[in-house]
Amino acid sequence: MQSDVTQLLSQAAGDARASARLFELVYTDLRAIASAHMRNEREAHTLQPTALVSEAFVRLVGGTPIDFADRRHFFRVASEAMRRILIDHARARLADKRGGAARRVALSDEPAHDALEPETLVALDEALERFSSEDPRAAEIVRLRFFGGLTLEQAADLLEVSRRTAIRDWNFARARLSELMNPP
Amino acid sequence: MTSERVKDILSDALERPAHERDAYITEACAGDAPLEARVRELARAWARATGPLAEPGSLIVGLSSDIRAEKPGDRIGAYTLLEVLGEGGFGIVFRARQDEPVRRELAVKVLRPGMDSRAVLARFDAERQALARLAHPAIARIYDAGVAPSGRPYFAMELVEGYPLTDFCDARSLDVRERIELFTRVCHAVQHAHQKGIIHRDLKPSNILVTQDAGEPEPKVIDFGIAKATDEPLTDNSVITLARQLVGTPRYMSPEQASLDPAAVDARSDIYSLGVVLYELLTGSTPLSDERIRDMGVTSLHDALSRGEFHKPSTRLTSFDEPLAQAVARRRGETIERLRETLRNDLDWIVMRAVEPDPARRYPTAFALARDLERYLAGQPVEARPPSRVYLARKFARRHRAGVTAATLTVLALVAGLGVAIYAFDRASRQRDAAQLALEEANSITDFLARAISSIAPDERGVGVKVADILDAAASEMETSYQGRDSARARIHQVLANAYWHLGEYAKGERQYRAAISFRERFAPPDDPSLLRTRSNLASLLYERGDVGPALLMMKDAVELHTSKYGEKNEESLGMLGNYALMLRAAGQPDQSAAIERRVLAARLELNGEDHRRTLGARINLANSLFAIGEVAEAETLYRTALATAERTLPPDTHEAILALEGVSNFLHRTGRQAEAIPLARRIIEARERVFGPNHPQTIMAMYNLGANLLDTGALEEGRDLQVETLRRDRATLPANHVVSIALVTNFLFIADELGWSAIPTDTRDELLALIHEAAELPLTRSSRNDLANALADIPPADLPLARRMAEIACADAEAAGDSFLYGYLDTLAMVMHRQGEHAAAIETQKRAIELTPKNDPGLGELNEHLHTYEAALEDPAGEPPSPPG
Repeated sequence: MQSDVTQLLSQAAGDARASARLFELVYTDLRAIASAHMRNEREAHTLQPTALVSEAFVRLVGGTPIDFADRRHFFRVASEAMRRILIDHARARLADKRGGAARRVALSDEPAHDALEPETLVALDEALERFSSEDPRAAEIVRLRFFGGLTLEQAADLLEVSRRTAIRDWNFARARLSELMNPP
Repeated sequence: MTSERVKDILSDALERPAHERDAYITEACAGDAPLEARVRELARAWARATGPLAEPGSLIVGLSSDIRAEKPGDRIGAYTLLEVLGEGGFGIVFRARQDEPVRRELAVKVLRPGMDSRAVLARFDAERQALARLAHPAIARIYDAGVAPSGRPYFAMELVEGYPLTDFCDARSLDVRERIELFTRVCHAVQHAHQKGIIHRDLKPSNILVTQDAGEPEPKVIDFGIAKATDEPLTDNSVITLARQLVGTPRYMSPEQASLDPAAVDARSDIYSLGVVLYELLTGSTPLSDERIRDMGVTSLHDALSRGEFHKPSTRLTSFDEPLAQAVARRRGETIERLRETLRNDLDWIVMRAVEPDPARRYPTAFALARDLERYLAGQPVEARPPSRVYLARKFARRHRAGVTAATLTVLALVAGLGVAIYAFDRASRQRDAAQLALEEANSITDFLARAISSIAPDERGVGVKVADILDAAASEMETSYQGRDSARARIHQVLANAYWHLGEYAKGERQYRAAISFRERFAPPDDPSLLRTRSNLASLLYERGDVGPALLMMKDAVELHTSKYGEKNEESLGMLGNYALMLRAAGQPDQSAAIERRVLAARLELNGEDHRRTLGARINLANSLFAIGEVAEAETLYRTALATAERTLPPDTHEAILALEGVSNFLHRTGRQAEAIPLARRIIEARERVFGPNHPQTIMAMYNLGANLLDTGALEEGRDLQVETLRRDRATLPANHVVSIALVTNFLFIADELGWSAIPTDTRDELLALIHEAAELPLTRSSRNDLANALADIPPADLPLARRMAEIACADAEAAGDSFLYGYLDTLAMVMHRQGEHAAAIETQKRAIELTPKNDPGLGELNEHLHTYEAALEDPAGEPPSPPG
């Protein structure tokens, strides 16, 4: 598994199929980790996606030394995979709320009180998508932070921008996303 | 676009203590009120942020429902999953049961994880209505789509229990004839879907299932509408989405699909896939084997597909080793030799035409493919032919004309640009006039303009006074009561003329120019620079309006007089030479125009320097001519240089910046890179609308260009809608003989070819007919006449005598001018003669056309085809009624 991912990472730059395979691997693994968490923690049905991505990185890449570009690629792919898992999940839950009466899976889900509501998550994602076309780099920083488990400093390093630029981008993103999600 | 300054100030302010922020923002914005307002808005929004935006470390999500994949026994929506029918790269297919509102068994396909389910459903929804109209016995129905509890998209569809087409044929050892019969039924099903606007995009044997309960085998195409819905557009996350497109097997994929360019994929892509399936039915293998594909990267795969370098079916058999070849033959009830003999010629040709790398050269419809196969089965000659790579007669002409048209449409803009420049120059030269005279004249002109403008005070006509109103008032004032000198009169007429021209009011502009010339002639010698300038402007206006012949003559005079007096390296000589070159190109002499434009560019570099706007314009002009004579590489370099310069040195809406954009866009369009050209074309329209408004010739031209682009990519409906709107604006603004008007006519012919006349609204057709007949009475270029001849022969009710006259004039005109495209005009003339039943004359004319055609012209084979058609008609006049060839 580990060698698989590191090899795919090094191929992914020029090879779309390696890229697709990589995405699927990371996605599947993230999902498996999430499921395992769910089984273990029957009480608190919440998780921090950032923790999952770190775990996936350790599992998939582990101690294998990889170069900077591959590392960047991994986190981009992983944050995108994480985003899809969370958004799909949130949408499915919203669909249930809207009256999927005939559902086999019981919704034992009173999420812990500080967990993000699916509505908020979906709204955030939609705002992020719009923002992405306005300022791709700032949006990338947000994605890496929210879904990829990186700190602002780590995101800045990964994108090879100064921390100062990252802070500017972040402040701007926070203002714009807030504006998009809650128009005055 | 958010300016970096907003970001800077916002961020700097936020780094300060809250009580200092306000003052800081005021100071940093330094009186720029909009900037300040925007920063404050953002600062307020920033402060309003809650949740993860305020505390990004705390993104915590409830993950509570089951996120495992679906399995038998689960329920999805109204369906209970029963058993797994199949599994693949796309996901899993279940047999499922529905209880409400009807009890039935069906198939539920749950897509693999990782797709954006909302986007999938949105795309599916977009096609839902069209899919609902699909009613064909050989198409499996799709009932519903939704999101499964796992968050994955699913589709519920008709349950088909059959075998993939190739397996079925092999299992039953169907012979070639039986295979083709089955296959043509698939073609008819695909045709049905195409007529409803649905493209499959993933046709392959495993999506064409055959059932045989009793009696006839029944083919059924499954998954219509699914490939499109699951095809993710290229967005920011291209790492992932790029990859997605090649997840399926590329063996049946058309080159345009493999190019990962979704915009380039249309119904003809399905024809290609059908061709591959047919290839496999006949030879037991696809043109590119899995092994070959595995060894290629995406890029080389695309290259291999676009070159179409693979064996004909009959040769493919020879490439197998003996036992394999024998097995293939045996499964078709043949020996190797006999099978090869069966495939040779007709079937080879049909298959190879279906898998042509260039979509325009494939069968235009699935029906055409089926019809050719039916001809083969009936022992009739097939339409496909090996060397000529047949395509329709009109498409041949259109291709040539598209070149001419696109070039013309670009350069028009330059003339208008020059008009502006000359107007400015006019003002500058005024300063050089004798002081006293200038003062008198200036007073006189000022008085005049003041009267003209005050004569339409807003209280009379409301506040919406338009520039055109002011000009009309001024023009009538000039005629009735102006008392100034001839020189002042000439100048005012010139100013009015320029203004009218820029508003696209050609007739009024022409009148003003002629008045300016006649006043100036009263006191100025024939080589007076102002007089020459006015003549040159009038010539340019005539040219832009479509009167290329008279324009060229007038321009030639002016430019010769001017250069002989001031030399070539003179600002104004260069402007005139540039315009003269444009006219030469429009008159079909691009080699001459290129030679002149090379000189102009050299002089511009010397005179104005690398980055000057005029130098930029000169580059684009030369590029256009070079492109027209086939110097594509040099043309591209020039376009790219021009665009880079424009983007570096000019504000985005500047005329030259847009011209550069247009140059690159047209270049991309004409080299088949429509997908890259289209976004540029849209930007051009936006810029034109911003600067000129919706009804200006430049805007209309930009719309036309985008429409032509869309049509060439096969986005027929969108292209048509745009051209309908373009025609509406054109009719409100432009004369019928304007190049854009004529080009529109041609595009509508193309649209009608592809979609039928019924797809064009009746009032649009009426507008077209009126336009054509109106244009036929006006001065026209020969290429416009040629276009009209085609239109007159084509748009019902056809007017063949008028078409004949147009074609004859075009030919005579081309002959007199030594136009190298005479053969194209002769081809049109022959077609009209043939339609009139004059087969002998058609043959003679066509032979002449063929004689004149350059041997490397890709259309040569086609011209020969037309000749055969006419010869056949002469031998058997009672046979088929005359119809357009092809």
